[in-house]
Amino acid sequence: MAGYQIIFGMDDYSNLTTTLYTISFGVLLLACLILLLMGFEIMENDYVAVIAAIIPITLSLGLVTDKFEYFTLYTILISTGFLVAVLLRFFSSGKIASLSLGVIHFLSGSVVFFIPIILFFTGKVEMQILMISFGGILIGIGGMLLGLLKAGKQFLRKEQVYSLFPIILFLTTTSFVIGLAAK
Amino acid sequence: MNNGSILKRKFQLYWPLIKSLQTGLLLVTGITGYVSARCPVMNWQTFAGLTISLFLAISGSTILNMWYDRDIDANMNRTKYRPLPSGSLKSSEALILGLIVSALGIGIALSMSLLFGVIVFAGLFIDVTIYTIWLKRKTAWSIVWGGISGGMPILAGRALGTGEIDFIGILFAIAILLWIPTHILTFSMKYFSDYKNAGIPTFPSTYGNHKTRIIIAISSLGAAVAIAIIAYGIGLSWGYLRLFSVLTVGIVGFAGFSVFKPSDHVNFGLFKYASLYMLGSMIMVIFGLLM
Repeated sequence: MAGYQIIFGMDDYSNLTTTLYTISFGVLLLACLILLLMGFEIMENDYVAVIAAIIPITLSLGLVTDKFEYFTLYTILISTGFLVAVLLRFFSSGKIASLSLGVIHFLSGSVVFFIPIILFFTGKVEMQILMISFGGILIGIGGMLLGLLKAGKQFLRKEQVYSLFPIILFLTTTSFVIGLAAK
Repeated sequence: MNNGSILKRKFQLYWPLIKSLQTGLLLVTGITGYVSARCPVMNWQTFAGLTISLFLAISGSTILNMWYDRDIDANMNRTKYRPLPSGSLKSSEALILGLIVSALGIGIALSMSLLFGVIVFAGLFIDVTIYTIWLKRKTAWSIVWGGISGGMPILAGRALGTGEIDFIGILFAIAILLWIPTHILTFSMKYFSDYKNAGIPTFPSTYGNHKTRIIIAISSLGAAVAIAIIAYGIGLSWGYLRLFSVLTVGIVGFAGFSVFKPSDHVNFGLFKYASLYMLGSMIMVIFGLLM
């Protein structure tokens, strides 16, 4: 689905938006391939959280640049925040790094969730765009399950989370693709 | 045993001799080379001839390799249960099968086009004679010749479509040549002791794992650059070029990780990703030009 979106789904956007969506769907695609090839142990790698944050960041930036005229402030805020989070990840204690990355993840995820709702209720885009919000909820649930697992507060067993995760990723990607096709 | 059972048993013994996944991947490269030519007289007869001749020639050379390497296969844990080293198939039978299948493949190729047939024959000759018989047991650098022979199906397919050996065809062959180290060297690191026991010189045993990983990273990058030039050169749309870029980031990232954060897990991940990358690239070229 991500590959389909990258090839066929980006004809109507500006170069900047296309690049941002390509990065977002590209990271999703690569994440799925790496999970397939290397198994779920890869989730325990420290880099995964950093790379996973790229998905909501670039998707939210894509939505903002595509749908709103004034995107500069958000772009500067979220890009600087991500840069700081990445630097903290490598040069500070684990807790501060996780917190900063969590904040950036939460902010960008909120933008992915709320922008489609705002656009729909202001009558600018058809209802289909809400699928992006739905995808945002799904990947948010996936992220929370993994986060809880990593923090040792198990809501579900490790095997259950791991078997759910591919389904969540597939439904998330499909929702994003359907949502972005909204006119 | 009735005839059906005998045939089934023979098929079960012969099928592992052709390394179906490897043969399938090389066959896909040959088809990609042909499709990439956007040949104006593309028809099902030519396409069937290309597919059958390449399948037979690649399978034939693989069978002959298996026949020649049966002694070293017997010394390796990974390969000792293959039909020849395990003794479930006679070596003379495998030799005759390999020669017949190869001759059929080359014969069909030559009957279709002299240039196509010569390239297919060159691939088989380089693979069996230069790579397997002459160099494989002498030098780790034999894989370069293995890579050249691996590039012949795609060059042959392209030459059949265009009627000549052109720059894109050579680039295609170079892409395969550069991809093959990623594939073989990661494999030879994973099965290091197997190759050592069998007395086969490999890059890891000759130059060490670190240098081998650097070579893998460089060749992966080279293969990615070659494929990027091809994708642009044959006029793929921006959508396909974007997806190429994404997959390329993946292989470069994997190669980088294997150098700076090496582990067996990353190493074998790169091996699998490299195969997927090449298959994905070929499928994208086919779809990108046909759709």
